[in-house]
Amino acid sequence: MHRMLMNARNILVGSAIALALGVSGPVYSFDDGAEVTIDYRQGLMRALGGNMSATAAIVVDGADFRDNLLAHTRYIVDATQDIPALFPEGSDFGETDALMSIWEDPERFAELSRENHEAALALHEAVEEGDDAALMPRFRSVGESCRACHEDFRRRD
Amino acid sequence: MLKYRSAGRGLRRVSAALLALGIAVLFVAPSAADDGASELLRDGEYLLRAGGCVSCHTGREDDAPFLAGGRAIESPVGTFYGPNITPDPETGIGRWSQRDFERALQHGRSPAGHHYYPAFPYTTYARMRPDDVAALWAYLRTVEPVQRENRPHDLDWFARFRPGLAVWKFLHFRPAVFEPDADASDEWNRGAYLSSALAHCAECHSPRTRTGGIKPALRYAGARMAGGDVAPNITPDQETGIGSWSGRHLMRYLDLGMDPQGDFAGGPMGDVINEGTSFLTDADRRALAVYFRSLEPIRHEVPPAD
Repeated sequence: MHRMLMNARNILVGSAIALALGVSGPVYSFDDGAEVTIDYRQGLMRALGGNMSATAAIVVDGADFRDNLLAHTRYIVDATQDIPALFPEGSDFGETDALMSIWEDPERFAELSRENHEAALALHEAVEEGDDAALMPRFRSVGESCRACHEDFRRRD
Repeated sequence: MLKYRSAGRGLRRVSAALLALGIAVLFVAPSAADDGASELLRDGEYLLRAGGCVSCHTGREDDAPFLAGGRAIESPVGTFYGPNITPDPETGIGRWSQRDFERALQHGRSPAGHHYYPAFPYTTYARMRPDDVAALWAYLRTVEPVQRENRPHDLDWFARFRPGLAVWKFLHFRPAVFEPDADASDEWNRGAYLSSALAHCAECHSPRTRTGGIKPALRYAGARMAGGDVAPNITPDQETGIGSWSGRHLMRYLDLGMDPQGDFAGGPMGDVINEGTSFLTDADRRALAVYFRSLEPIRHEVPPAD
């Protein structure tokens, strides 16, 4: 009982200090900004993968969810808006498959990221315009641009 | 008069027909021959893709000249550089005969009689059918010749002694022919041929013995590659292989590079897809999928990197 009270007090004190210091995050946050960044970008990449596989099921294999396509491609467009921002300096350690080449050749990384975003935009436009004949080739080029980047900048194991 | 005119018309018709026939002979006959030749070249180009030749024999730069070599291939004994296979007489294979090509492709011997390193998968190409070898050769003769010196391989000292390869070949290389399985479907046999005579999947996806031969019991069961990447277990084991992949997933992966999670291949497999399997017909990708899904599942986790 006493320990619980002590814990409660510690949390209160911790919260007060955190508030006083202007820290807005939860009190249990550790000093691990880079790890949080890595968590976020891995979650985003998984979400991208989820939306790509859902899109493929509709576009490639004709799953009967054409009405949802716009939501999937909009996510792909939004999530690829600024990929280099997900890879700040110092987020190259620990549980990441990011290769050092991201930081060694940032221009190339930025260029491939931009191409990826542009391919996503083109796919999204085809969905918006109802241009179903363009869906497969444009989906293909989004995939090609994903691979191009993974080829040079991601470890595979 | 009428009769005469009608006879004249008849004659004209006959001569028109003869003329048409002549034109047909002039144009159709050579074009039929052309069709044969261009079909051979088309087959050869397709085989180049199916054989996965491009990803080693073309540099990685965006503007790398086609088949003029230069791609680095990491191996346990050092780095190989894919050589120039354009018909340039000085730096490529322009002076080779078809016989030289067959000997290189299927026996791992250079025209001068040197042994090739098995980074060049002649162990696989040995199973190619003679007509496929001929088509590939015919196509390679038509590629734009590029003058580009081969970059010497950068190998560990003990691997530089080429005659030592005779020992490797004695241990691990048997000239072979592809034997179709009479009990299996044409599709399965096509997949088996594509994988074991052309695409050389086993070369990366199988662990090797200390002397560098594929461990037969673990063929296709996954391995760590020299560059650090994993070539995963591609037998249909549920836990360690691709047991959860449907044929559709496999076909899609070989075409678009997308796995069932929507993730996209990079690294060496990205190369294989970009330069090879994405060029195949759906029927051939289906055949490969049928073949891989039919394999005996092998439980084998690729060990972590050292």
